[in-house]
Amino acid sequence: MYQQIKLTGITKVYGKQDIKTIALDDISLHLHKDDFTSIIGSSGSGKSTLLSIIGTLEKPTSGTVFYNEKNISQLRTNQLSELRNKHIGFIFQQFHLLPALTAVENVLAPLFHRKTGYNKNTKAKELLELVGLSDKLHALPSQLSGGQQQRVAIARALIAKPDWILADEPTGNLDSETCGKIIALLMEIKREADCGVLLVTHDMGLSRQADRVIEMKDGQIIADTKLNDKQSQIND
Amino acid sequence: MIKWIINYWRRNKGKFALLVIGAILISSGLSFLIGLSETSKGTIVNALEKKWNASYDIVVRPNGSKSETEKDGLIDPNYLSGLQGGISFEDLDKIKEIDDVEIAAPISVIGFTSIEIVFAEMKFPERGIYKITVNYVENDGIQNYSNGYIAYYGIDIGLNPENMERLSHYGLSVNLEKNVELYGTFNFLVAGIDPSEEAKLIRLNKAMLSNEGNRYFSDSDKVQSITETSEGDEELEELGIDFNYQRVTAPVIMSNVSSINNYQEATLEKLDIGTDLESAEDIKEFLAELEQNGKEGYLDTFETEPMETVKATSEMLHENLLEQSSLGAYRDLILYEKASPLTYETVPSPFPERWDIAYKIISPGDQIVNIDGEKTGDISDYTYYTKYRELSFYDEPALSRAPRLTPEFLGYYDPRQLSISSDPVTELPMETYRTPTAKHMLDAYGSPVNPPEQVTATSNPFGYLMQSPTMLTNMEAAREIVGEEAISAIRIKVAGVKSPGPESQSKLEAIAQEITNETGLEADITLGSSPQPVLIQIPSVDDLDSLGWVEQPWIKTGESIAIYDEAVLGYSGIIICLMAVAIMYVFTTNFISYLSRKKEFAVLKALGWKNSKLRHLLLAESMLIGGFVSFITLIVLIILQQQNPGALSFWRIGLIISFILLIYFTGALYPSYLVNRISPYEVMKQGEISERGARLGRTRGVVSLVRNNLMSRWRRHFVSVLTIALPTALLILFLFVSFQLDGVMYTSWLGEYVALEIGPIHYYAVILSLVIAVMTTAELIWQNVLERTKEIALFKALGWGNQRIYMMVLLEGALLGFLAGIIGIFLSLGILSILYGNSLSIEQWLWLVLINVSIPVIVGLVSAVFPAIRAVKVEPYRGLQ
Repeated sequence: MYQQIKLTGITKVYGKQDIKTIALDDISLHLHKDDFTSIIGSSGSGKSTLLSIIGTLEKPTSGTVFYNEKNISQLRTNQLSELRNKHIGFIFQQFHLLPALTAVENVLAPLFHRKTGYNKNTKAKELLELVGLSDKLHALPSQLSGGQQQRVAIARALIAKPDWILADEPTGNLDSETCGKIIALLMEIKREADCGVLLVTHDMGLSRQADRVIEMKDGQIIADTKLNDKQSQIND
Repeated sequence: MIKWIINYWRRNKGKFALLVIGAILISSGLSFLIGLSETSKGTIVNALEKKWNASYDIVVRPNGSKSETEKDGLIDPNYLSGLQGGISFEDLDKIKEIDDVEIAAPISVIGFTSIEIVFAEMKFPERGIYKITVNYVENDGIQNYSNGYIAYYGIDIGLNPENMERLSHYGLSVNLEKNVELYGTFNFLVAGIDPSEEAKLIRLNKAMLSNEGNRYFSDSDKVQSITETSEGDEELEELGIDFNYQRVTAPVIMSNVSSINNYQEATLEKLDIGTDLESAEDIKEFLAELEQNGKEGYLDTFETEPMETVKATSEMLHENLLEQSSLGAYRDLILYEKASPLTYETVPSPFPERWDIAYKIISPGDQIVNIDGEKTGDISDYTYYTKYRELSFYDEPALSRAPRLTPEFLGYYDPRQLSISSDPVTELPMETYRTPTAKHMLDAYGSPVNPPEQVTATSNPFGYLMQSPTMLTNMEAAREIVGEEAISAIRIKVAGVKSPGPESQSKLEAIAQEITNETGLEADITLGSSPQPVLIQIPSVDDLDSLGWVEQPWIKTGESIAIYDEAVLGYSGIIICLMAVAIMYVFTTNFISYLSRKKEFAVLKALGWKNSKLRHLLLAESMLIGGFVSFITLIVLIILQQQNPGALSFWRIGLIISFILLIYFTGALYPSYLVNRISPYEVMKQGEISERGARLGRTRGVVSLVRNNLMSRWRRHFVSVLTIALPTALLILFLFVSFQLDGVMYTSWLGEYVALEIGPIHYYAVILSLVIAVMTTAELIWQNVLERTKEIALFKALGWGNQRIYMMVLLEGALLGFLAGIIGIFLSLGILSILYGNSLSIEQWLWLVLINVSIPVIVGLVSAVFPAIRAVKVEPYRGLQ
């Protein structure tokens, strides 16, 4: 159970010397599981990269990521996979459901060949029920609407009972009505499943619903606001 | 995991169908071809072993006995008939002592003799003057050679047959009996053999007829030799009788079939002389008339009334001989003519496309004989033979010094029962016991004879075709008759040499070399020889016109080694090519399957799947297909095995199955390695068309666009280029071998046989390989189109027409094919120059380039058709999302 994630001096550089792109520039950040945190910024501000590094999808060029006190930068690929598998649930802008699998199979995909203390299939059905898709258990992604696909993706993110849910523009490909429903669902899940939510978005309106809003620009955090207690910190 | 994979396939039916088609194509094709080529390879080796395998591996001949023709690697099939000894018994012993010489069977061509045999009995019905016409007619398949006489008989007219003096006044013969026996001659070749070696070599002992009293040679057989001479016998000298010859009494066996084709015919006619010769007066009057008017000449003028005609063929004569229980009656078999070689000279072939080698028989010049007080002048005046060979006799044409063979007749053997190759279509000419044959193909003016006539040997000892030995005696007898150097040839069988092949060849070469070193004799390897049709011009000899040209199967030495090598190369070629293409196909499909699911794998990695899990997934998937392919292959192979037991061992089937599983296993290795390198971060990327790419020159138009597209993904395209290039190069090789008639392949009958036998399989394999190449390339281009959907949509959005998109994808296929063609040219050139040296003509070059470019381009175009249709269907808005 990882209560907090701490980033210190994270820098990410893409490309080689001539055409270097600095995606993240010396970011330090402390995230708490209790918060519904949103990261906001324009295209190219580095918010998705930040999410990838937090979610161990990518390694930073320099800097350290701590899960509680554990320095995950020192972990090997397989250990990272396991960490992701057990503690992180991802939701992507393009849903990334496996097209050959049905809704319930997609939900179960992270647990493939993994033993759990609970009944995987029952859990998967419960989760699909939770996201309102109890009648679409055996539908293929191609038979689902965008909003429905994203719901399946959310259920998939929850199947392993993660500590954290990382959502990368989960509503980017959806219309505004569906978009609101998805965010509402995420809030509900946050409460029900008791996990930290990290939402990357470029929609100011959406970010307002979070407990904490981190604003990024050109690879730097330009604002970090806690909305509940109206307290603001500015972090370089 | 398997459920997962099966679900995946179930929901990607199109992809799965393609996979199954490919798998079935590979498995059935591979197994069918391997099975087929195994059986055909078996057939070839069988053919080499059974149909063309001589009963001996090496033939040793006297030094200097090689004809001019042997420069072409061709041996006159009649070589034995021209070898009157020349190898000593000492040499034979030396050869027998060489290690690994299992059988050394000497043969001594002793010479020709004849037996007179009653062939007809004529009955004179009543008193009168009769005419008997006897004709000895031989046929060599081209024409008749007839030789005969007319005899007049006075029957019951009171003449005394003892009174020769008086009879000569009338030109009449007289018979006191009412019938007369007519004798025909039976002319045949006598040879000496070593009974025990011959029994080992060809089981001559087992070919003896099972008649009572028939037996093979035994150790207790005695050979006696005495000199019979008139010298010192005053009585004989007084009578002017002069003889001096060796009489050899020796055991003999005889063939039960005649090797020549002739018949003797006799006609009995009664002369209508105007009187019935009832009274003594009448007879006296007629005889006086006869004496005055010129005897036979006068008799010839009378009308005749045919009474009886009797005809006996050589086969019947031979049978007559068989029926007589013993040859003991023939005390004196005079050995008269000796074996004599034919001389050949190379002449231009009148039809070089059909026969690239032609020889002409050089007829010997006139031979003068001069025996004091006996014979002078042209030797051919003393023999009725047409002489194609130098005449050669034991005694210049006289009988007083020719050796006599007194046969101790043991029995008859049947040459058809001998253990020698017995293919009826292509008779191996080198077998001692088989009559050589030929076909009359062209007449004296060079016009084809239609249909060609079968030409057979005649009894002529100096003819152009020689009969095989009919009477066999042992070597001891041959030594007594011919002398110390009586052996004409030694046929050698080497221990441990079974079928023609590289190992046998080198072993035989070593032994042949040793024989030559030890004895100075000519030793030639006959194992793996093939009959090769050679055209022989029969010249005009004596008063006989040229017969034109005959085609004769000659012995082409070392032929089956060459054929074997080519056949093995051909088989290895198709199997290796097909396997390589199969490997490339499996590799490509695995790779493409990986490429198309790269994003999925990234998602799974992001969801926390470990690399090992993904690797297992890929391997399991590939092995599942491999298992399916193996299963089909197994079924096909087992069916083939049932149909043709022995051709495919279970061990070999196991090997093939393991190979297929190995292909699929290795095919999955590269993708499962690549899977490690997928970054889960890729799921976060959106919409990039291509991250990096090699470029070759600027992009200016469709062609350069396609070119740069191919270059940017050159690794995968290289595989596809190879899958097209490999079978194309092989096709060139097969075409070249099939059509180049100058080479080794078609000139001998064996080559023709083998080429005919294996041709379709080769082409089938090439076509199969090309179909697999089409599938590989199609999958590749399909994947390219998929990956470039956005790009294509963009082009469409920018206003490109369907036609142009279609052309672009087709061009991609054509360009891939063209590249394959260029590689194919180098490949096939390499193979051809290794095989045949640098001997391509301009025309062959043109064909090579034409085929090597056109076929791959067609393959590429065909591969691109479906992807192109798919590309055209891309909607322009897809690129703008």
